Amino acid sequence: MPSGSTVARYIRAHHWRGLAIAAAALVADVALSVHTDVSSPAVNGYITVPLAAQVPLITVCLVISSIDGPMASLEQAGSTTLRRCQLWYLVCASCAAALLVGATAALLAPLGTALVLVRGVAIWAGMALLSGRVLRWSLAWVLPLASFFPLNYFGADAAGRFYWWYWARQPAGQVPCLLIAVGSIAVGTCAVALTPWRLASHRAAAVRMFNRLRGRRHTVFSDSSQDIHART
Amino acid sequence: MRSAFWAELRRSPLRWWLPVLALVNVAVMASDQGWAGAWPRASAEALRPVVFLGPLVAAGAAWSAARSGLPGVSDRMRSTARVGWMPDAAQLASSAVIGLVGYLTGVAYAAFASVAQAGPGFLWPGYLLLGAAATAACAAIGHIAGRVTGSRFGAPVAAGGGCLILMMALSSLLGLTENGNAVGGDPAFAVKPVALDTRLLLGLGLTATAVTLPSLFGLRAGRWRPELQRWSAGAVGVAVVAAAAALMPTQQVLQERAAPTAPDCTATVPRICLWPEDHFYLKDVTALAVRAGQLPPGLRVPAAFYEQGVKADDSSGFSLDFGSVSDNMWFVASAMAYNVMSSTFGPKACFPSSMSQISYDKMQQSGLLLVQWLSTRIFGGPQPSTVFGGPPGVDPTAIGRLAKEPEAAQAAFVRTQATVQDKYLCKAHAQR
Repeated sequence: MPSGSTVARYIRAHHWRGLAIAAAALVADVALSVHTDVSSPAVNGYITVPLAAQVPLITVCLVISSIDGPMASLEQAGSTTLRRCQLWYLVCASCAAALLVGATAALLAPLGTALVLVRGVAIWAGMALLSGRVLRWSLAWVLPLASFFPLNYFGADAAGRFYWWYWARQPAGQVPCLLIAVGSIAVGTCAVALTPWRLASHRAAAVRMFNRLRGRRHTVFSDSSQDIHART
Repeated sequence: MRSAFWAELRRSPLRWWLPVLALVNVAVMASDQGWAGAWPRASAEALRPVVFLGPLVAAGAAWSAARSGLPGVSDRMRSTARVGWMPDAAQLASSAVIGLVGYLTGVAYAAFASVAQAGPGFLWPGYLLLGAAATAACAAIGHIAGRVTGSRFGAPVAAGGGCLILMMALSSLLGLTENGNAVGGDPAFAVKPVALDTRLLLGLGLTATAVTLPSLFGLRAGRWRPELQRWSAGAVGVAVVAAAAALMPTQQVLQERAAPTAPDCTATVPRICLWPEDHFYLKDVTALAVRAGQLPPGLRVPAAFYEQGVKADDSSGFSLDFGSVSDNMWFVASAMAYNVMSSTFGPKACFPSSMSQISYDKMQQSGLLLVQWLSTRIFGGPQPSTVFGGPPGVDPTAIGRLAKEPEAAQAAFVRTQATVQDKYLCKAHAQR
């Protein structure tokens, strides 16, 4: 666990002003939208969607893309302290965001509604982590924002029944959606764990294995430190 | 200016979005083909993806405009030997053009899917302009967010999320969904010119604001460049946006069209008359009309059935707004069945206050059985599985079987139900 002052300095370098404003805006957003249903175009005409369905999406996009910051290139170098700070920050900021959204909703609406929003935070967080790892951390919002279309457009069948995977409309205790949340968090964890340097070493190991199977002499295939810089 | 625009277009980060935007459009259009073949319906369909397209365009525009916050860029932009709005204009134009090309992919698909089957005419510009205005407005909102904050962290999410909320909450106000409107794409309705102008003005005002104002922020007074024009242009833009936003809720987006002078009628007895725009459906409704002419005796079939709005001051018209052709034909048959009922047994406006609840329920149940049977006969088969619901307490499969039985058995069924209807006849009970 990094020391308090390290954490404070880490947060200061990661959009804390923007996040504070966003937190206030999100509380207002939850309060204004939690009781409203709107109609949205869907494959068989129109479905009603809770207006609050966008809250977890926006929350997650803000939190995950805030890993990027002025010190991003330094963090890419992979110092242990910074890496540990990053992990702590990710876990704490995501939990704080889920708590903020969930608590605000729970104050104003039934607990089930609040839990559905928290589940949305969990699902989209995994998606945002994947997007951030594949594209770059400041583009973590791309995949979640793009997912909103297929989710809402194809979320209900011809009779207007919502599919099991349409998590914005399934009750909080529904098992498949909980599994999606768990799976998404798992994917997100893998995305965080697969850092450029680990990918590079895995790739080198794979190449060594391949060469050994082919009966060749082991050669160093790539300079892994250069590889990291090429990816950033 | 032109070379700056092309450079922006070539280098815009949004260009990687373009396949996604096009894919969203085509996925929406291809998932349901019921609109293909009628120009107004195809035009309204091309409008549907904008609800999802807008937030993506806004986020992308914000991402590219946030370039102004990268180290050294703002100094370089201020020291160019060009008027301050030019870089903004070139950049916003590139974002808006990419968004509009994504939108036009869907429009082109709508035209392509309809052109072989549809009659004369083309896509209706009113619907298309509504979509274009909303797309341009989203690009402008994104541009303003990116330019003002200069932050690649907050701007895309704020613009994308903000436009998502706007689209979800206000899509019917922007004329993009049917909620609160009459049905979009029905040839009986058209986009009201005044409403369209308001929404176009909103898009234009936002664009003008996005081009002029951001380059003025953060400037010290007393600079040599003439900035008064830009200030006034920006102020006009803001005023136009405010005025348009204030006017929008006061107007319905759609208005009824005048009845057509030459409706498209079948050459059968009874006739069915459609809007000329729905010529595509004429072949299918002809089959319905032929079957309506072959109903057993004892039922009075009206001489003509009209689509909604084809005959002025007629509220009994059917509509073709139910997606696929076979669903549409079922609902047309069902509307015709109700018309046959009311012309045979008279209107039922005096029920149920004039009779006991038990009598009313009996009359009602026999009427619903008759309607379902009539629909099945006119449709030429049982209720399609894609149509859900139906008259309460009526089993569609049983009625489907009945419609296959010999003509004499069906005539007997009609006589039985007609006796029930006559027994509880509206007029007879009202006189009591």
